[in-house]
Amino acid sequence: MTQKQTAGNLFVRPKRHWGAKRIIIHIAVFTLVGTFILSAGIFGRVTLKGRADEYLVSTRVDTLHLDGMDAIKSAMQSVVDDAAVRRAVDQAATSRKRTLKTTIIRMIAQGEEDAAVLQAVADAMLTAAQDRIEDHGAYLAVEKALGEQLDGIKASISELSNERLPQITLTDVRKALSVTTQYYPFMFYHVALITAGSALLLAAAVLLYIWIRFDEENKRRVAEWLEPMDYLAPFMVGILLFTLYPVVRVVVMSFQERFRLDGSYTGWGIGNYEYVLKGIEGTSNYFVQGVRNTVLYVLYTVPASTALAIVIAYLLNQKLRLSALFQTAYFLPMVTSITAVGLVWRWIFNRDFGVLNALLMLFGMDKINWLQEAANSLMVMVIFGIWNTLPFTIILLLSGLQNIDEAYYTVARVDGAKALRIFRRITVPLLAPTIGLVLTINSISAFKVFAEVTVLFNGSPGPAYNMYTVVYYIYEMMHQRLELGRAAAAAIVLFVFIFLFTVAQRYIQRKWNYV
Amino acid sequence: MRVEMKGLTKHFGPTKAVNDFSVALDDGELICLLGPSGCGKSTVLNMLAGILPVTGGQIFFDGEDVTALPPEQRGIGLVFQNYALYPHMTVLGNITFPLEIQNVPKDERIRRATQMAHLMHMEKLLDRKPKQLSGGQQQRVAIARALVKNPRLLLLDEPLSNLDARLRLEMREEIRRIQLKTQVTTIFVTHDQEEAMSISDHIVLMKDGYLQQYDKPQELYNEPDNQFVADFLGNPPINNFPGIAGDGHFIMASGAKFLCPGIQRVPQGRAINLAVRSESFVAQEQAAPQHMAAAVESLYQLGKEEMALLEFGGTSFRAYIAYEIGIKPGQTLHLSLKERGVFFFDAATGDRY
Amino acid sequence: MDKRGKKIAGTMLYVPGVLLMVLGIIYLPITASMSLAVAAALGGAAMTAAGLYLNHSHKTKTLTARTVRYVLLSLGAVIMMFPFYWMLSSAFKTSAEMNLFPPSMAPNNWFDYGNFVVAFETAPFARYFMNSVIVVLSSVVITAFTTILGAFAFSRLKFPGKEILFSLLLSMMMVPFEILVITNYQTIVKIGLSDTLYALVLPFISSIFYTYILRNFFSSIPDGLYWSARVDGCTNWRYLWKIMVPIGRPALMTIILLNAMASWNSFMWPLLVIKRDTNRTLPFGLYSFTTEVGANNELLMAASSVVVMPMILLFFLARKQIVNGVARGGIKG
Repeated sequence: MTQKQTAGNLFVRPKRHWGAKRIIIHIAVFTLVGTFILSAGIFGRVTLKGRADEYLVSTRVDTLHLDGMDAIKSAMQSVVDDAAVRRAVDQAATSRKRTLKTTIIRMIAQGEEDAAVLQAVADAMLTAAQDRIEDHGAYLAVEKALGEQLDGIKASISELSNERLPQITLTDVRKALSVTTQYYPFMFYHVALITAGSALLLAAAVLLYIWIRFDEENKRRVAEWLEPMDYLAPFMVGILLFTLYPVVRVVVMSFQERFRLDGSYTGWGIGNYEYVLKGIEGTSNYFVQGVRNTVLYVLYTVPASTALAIVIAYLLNQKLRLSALFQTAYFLPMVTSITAVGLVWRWIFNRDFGVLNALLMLFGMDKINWLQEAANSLMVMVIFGIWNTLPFTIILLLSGLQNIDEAYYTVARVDGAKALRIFRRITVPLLAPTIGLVLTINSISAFKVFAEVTVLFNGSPGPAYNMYTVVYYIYEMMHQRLELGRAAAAAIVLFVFIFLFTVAQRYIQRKWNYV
Repeated sequence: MRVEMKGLTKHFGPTKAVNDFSVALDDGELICLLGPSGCGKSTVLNMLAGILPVTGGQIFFDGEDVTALPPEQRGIGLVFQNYALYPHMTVLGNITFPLEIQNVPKDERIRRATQMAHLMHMEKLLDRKPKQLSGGQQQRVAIARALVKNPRLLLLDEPLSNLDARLRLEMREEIRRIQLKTQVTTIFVTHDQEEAMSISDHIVLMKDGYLQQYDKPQELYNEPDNQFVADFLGNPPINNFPGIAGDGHFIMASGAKFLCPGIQRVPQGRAINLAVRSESFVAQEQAAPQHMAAAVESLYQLGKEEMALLEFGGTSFRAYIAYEIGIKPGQTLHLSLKERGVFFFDAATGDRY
Repeated sequence: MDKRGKKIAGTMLYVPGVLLMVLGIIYLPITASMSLAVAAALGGAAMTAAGLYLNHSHKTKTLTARTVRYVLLSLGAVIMMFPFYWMLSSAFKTSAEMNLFPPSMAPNNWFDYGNFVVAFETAPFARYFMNSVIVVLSSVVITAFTTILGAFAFSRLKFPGKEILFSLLLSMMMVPFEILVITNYQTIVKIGLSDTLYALVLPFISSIFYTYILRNFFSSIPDGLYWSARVDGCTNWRYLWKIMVPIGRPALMTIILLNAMASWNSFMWPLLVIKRDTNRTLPFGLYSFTTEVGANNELLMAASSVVVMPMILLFFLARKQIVNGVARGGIKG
């Protein structure tokens, strides 16, 4: 009696993945890419080395050439106190200068020692001098003097040359590179490239080992483990390069004093922070001013726009006809470019032709110089800021309002509560978390105000540099003055400030969350 | 408070949710609005509350026409299916809120709220927030909040649907107890017939916006007005045998027939459903013209009784059989019918003969 | 106050209120002191509303409340929309019309395209437009790709350190772009991509924010779907693209919309990185345009309109999506 047929031979394991073949593909890819990157890195290093060598050579050449010639010249001139002779020697030096350089280069290329080179220089100089010095006796004196001092010169120049050469390290050459040099990226990043390339090749080797030595089961396991990496890779590459690395780098940079775009810095320390926070002696501190302006901007804009948005959201929270029209009207500024709307507002604020002043005149008031008078700048920014943040704020508050269950209102209404009481005791408390959220988000973005300033005041932060904001400071440091270290310090300060502010807000708002 | 509805109608555009609904409910009773989904029971409740405007008809509270009155002036307490407890207030705050609206002084508010909490066995929970309470506790708070202002009518919309099975049993007893204590006329909406049967004084059974029957629970069970009522109440559901009345016999399509007592009520040749409750079969030893000869398909045991799944005339049905008989699947069982629990319904109209 | 008292008080308010309002409106265009007329009209309106509201009837109350609501909302809407109207109308004004004071509400000729022509001749707006389109398209496509893959990995796949990595990423979400910009600027310059369109796309190929949103959405898709597909032999890749992405379309649409908007409107980064005119994107091109045309604001307005049009169009097409997406995204953020 066949009760149960063994299902073994009926069950076919579906071919799910490539299975362990994934490992092979990875090996191939890693090897290919790794080799590519590694060669790029090696290429960079080799090129760099080449440049370094060139640099070394040219330094040596210069030392031998310029310093050597100078030394020899002074030796020749030292003995005779005759202006004519001296002049003759100078002329000799000048006439031979260029050819001597070529000679020196040639000799060095041939592998001659410093001494030999200097000897040649000396000989050439003597020959040239001989032609010019009339008095043969003087010449002989010069020759003799040079003969005596030549060894000394050779030694000292050689020493000088040897002193300078080791100072030239690969790093220095790398730093000294100009961005526009050919193959710059390869040379600059060669260390990273070599590391990355080797890592990939190492990974490939490990995978190869696994492929050869592991059994099927474990191979599959490894393959399965590899899979998430593949999915994560594109994402992580972007994050590593443009988010993770910058964060770390900026923090480090802020401690590298006077770090500049070309990579040079004067040392480690908190000098950048000192500069940012204290400014230069005697001049007003732009950063502190920027902070002051920014804080004022936040204090004026955020509460006002939030209050306004609550009212509007409350009004919008009904089945309205033309709701599409109202939504468009209130939400449009959110999608449009800030430069474009900034320009319109600039035109509206225009002193002579702007519609705002026209409105004022209609009411019998005087024109206000919105844009050029320093005292009005903050108000201009605040008005524009409120207009800009309203849409986003309204959307969030509206969503919060709509999330309040209708049942709460119904029960309260059945109990006899009037509209005001419902608003006070039910709507606002239940909206409180959203209000808190809105305040936090808007404050954070308000702290970062930049584009608004740039556009409204046509590039300068306010008519008298008075609407300096923190981000503007960062931008200026970075773009105009190329002082990346200081910009980094300022950015870190900003971030810390925002972070503390957010924490404080959260603490104050903790009672607002009933959930 | 006596509630009377006359010709109550509600249309949502083309959809007729409630049609010509008339019923009079007595004071101090626990009444259940029962029916399947979409029958209009919640709509009726909402109209009673005043949240939904009526399309036609009238509502009277103690003889006063309240049809046009807004909810806050009707003196009602309302409990929603999801309780709608204000999450940002404590239990005490929730319960005192209606009194606050009425500008009751603070001491009295707290006194009355505490009293109510005491009634609900909730004194210790007054400082908690709703999210810290269990489902059953939340429901009690909701009811307390509705009752604290001494309404003349308490309305509950599917109060037990959000609770798990065991809690449901417990809480429906609670509701009954509270209602008896406070003597407030209470109307609650449910689709669970067992619930309705166990605790209501009266049941209003609805289908497709129409009133099917208004009666005491046992009356609905024992004397259903139509097919729907008979089908809806009772667990297991009533057994229906489609057939014709002829010559004192009940004849089914397959030819199976028997001499059915009481079939004289039905006009000759009329197509009917013979509806028999599972407990209304009696197992007999022998065949007889007035016995149904049914084939036993399978058996289940429930403690002292067995329920048998049988077949007669091509129709499967269930019957409670005493254990002692000792039947087996495949047997033919001869069943007679009791007097109680046997009905004849017109196959077309569902009316009862 | 009892019902009758309220009715009397209400009538006493709204009758003079209506009179005052009418007076104010009549005198508005003729009187010299506008403020007085406006004050009268507004005060009258307020009195009317209050008076009508006090009036006992439920219907009047609702009607008044409704009307007040519509009036207020309309007023607000006009104020909010005005700059756009102004932009458009100024774009069609001639230089002479722009110099009128008080300025005219509408241009003489709504169909005078002159300014647009001049603007396009003075600066290569077509080029800017193309650049913006290229940047936005590439950015959206690439970012969507990395986001989908990354969100899938974080929601569905298992790998060691998943939780830690995700928490790390979340904490980095708060880091403002202003910090990253400094190094990214340096990196871009050093790679030699400064002043290219690549520079505008590359730094943004991965976004923690979008991945977070999508990952949450993916996580809400029940496991059961995944396992029954696996049992049928479905690979992860196939499952992702044939099942998760279609289901996740709303969230994906949101991300794409937000990404497109942010990319189109981005200003600070192009300002830093782009130097040559031919590589400018639209907002940046517009900004530099200001220095070139100086005081010819009508040209500026024409250019601004061009910049703003595509986004307005997008808004009309996808309004609900955008609004819902911003709400969802904002609450998550």
